[in-house]
Amino acid sequence: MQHYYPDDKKDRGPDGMKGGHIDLRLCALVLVAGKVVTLHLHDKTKYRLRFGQNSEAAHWKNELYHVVKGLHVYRPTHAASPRPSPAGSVSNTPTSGKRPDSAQKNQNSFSPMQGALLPLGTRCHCEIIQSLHGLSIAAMYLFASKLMTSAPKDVSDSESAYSDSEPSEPSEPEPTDPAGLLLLRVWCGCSLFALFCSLLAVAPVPTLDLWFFKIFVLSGVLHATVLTLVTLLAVTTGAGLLIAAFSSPKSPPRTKGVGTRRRLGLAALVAYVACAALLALPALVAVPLAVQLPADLTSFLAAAGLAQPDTLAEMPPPLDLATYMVDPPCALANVWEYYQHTKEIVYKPVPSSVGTQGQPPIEDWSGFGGLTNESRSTAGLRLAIFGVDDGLKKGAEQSLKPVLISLPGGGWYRGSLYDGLQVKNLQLTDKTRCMLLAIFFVGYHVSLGAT
Amino acid sequence: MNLLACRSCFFPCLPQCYLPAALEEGWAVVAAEYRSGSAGWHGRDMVEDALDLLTWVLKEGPRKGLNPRKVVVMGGSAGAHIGLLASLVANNAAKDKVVKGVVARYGAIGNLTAAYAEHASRVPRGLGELLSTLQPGGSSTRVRGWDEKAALEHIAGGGKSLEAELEYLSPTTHVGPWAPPTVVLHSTQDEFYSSRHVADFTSAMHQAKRPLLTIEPRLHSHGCDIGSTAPFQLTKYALVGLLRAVNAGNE
Repeated sequence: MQHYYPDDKKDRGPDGMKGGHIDLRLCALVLVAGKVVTLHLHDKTKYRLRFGQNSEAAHWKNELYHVVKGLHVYRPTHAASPRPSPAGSVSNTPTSGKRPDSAQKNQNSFSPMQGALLPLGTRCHCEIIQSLHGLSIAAMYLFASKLMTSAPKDVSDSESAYSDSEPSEPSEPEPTDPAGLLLLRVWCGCSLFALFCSLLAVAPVPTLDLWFFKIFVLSGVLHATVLTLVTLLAVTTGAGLLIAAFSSPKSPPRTKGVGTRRRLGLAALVAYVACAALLALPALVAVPLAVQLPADLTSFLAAAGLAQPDTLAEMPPPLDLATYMVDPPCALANVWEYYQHTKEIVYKPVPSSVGTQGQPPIEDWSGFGGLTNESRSTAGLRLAIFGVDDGLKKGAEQSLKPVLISLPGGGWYRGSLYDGLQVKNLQLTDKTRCMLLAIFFVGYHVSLGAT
Repeated sequence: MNLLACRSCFFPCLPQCYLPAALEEGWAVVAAEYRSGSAGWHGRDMVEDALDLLTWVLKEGPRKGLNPRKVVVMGGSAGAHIGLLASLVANNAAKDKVVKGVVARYGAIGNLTAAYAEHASRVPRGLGELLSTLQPGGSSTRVRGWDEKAALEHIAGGGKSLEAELEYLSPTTHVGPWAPPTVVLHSTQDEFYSSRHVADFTSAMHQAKRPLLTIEPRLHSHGCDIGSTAPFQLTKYALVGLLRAVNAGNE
């Protein structure tokens, strides 16, 4: 993939390639206005590329956008191969990025973008799952919508198919069960909301200024939405199935077809219970571990010489199945607090030839975890401190707090500042839960047919 | 400021991550980034960053309100590997318990040389694995886009001495009398790192007579301690117990 493009600010030679080059990995935003395409870099530098026509500018805006977007997303082959540089490139990058020649020589290049885009790159694989999840929900929503609009017709058709009355007699539209319709509408609303959040989560974010919004969606809304909706859909489905199984049909009187549908409803209810059991199965098999864990932990601490008489006295049980099933979400306000009161400090300058050598470390940034000023990521490797009072900045004497160092995962191929704490629980929308959603939908479909 | 004191907020405080658990115990939490493999860095670079991070906490921590005498390291996946390795190296170098405890969640904590040899000689099992070997870049060990053999080669630095690098990067190599008490979470169905990593590390810790607590849940995958899953709850329980014990210590 081409990483460097001619810098329009530099004078070009006859071959057109002697100008400076813009490291597109540093690009945060691509905008077009008339014949001018503007590239916004993380260090607030702007580059304007002028074209002859508006359509040409729009075309290149799209091209650049896709290139930039591609560079933002984690790619396994990205780092493995040397980054190509256009022939004849002689000038350096005017930004804080590394020189093209050094990039070509040294594959061990730390991209400043790496720091700025860590959340996106880290969770790329999860976002793929998210997109699948979104698509599955979209499909279910379409099914449900079609079902809702065609339910009365289907019911009357099925009635006429099952009944032994004369086929020439026109059948009147059967009144829809209001409770079932309400449940279906709730179900559709929940699905639509989940779809909306999922699409938001996977939507491209051309500018990193929107990263807080994205994290807001990912860590808060999506988590809460998906998990709550899974529960809500399960309850709704269960209620629908119960209605289907135990409600007595008003008209016509009991027929063979109704009995079949009743059995179908009961079967769906059994399937629903099986799904719930399947959902709980991973936790149920962990119960023996949970029973044994307190004793194991006591022995472990004793062996480490750390055991204290009251250390474990007030600890809650290791495993709470109710919490597992409901899976309460992280409160949005908590996520806000986490990022609002985070202190970010550069603990190590950027190694080797990468970044802005000699730039003094930027200390004690407050904000949303590096999301508001991406240029700081070029200063070096960062750490974030949680749980220390602001008073320390003024030199006030306070007791020192013990410190838990958390290192994120994915570092072999990726890396992120906050993932180690599982603040962003994105994997909750894994395929298992998607499958369960689908099963719930099928169950509801069957129950609706039964009603 | 207590980060959990958001009483004015509308939403109830029901956090499902390790951060509030540590904060509630009165601990400060330091989350740190390190050079990543996506930029071409290798395992030794990452360990070096983790060691520099530890050094920063020990030297600069007091100025930031951090107690350098009570340090616990936690990590997940690659973070577990790097954090555990850095803790072992730091304790061995200082001949002291600089790191009081480690919580390693589903990381490559075993003998990487043996793991690499196992993958290198592995014969494809089943049609799916066989077909995967026919694809470009396919491997018999590729699972969900993850190839442990390729990953091990990557973190070992490719052209460098593979065996020497893998030996250095194996936590089992550094287990000794100064190894910190370690809690290990590793699912028996972990599709990235097999349970042999836990067996290797358990054996090494046993030989060194160092305390180890393993949590090996079933029916869970890599990165299983998400949300309110059983692995999360169990690990949180062990983490809180460890934090309380370290905090109550006299050192």
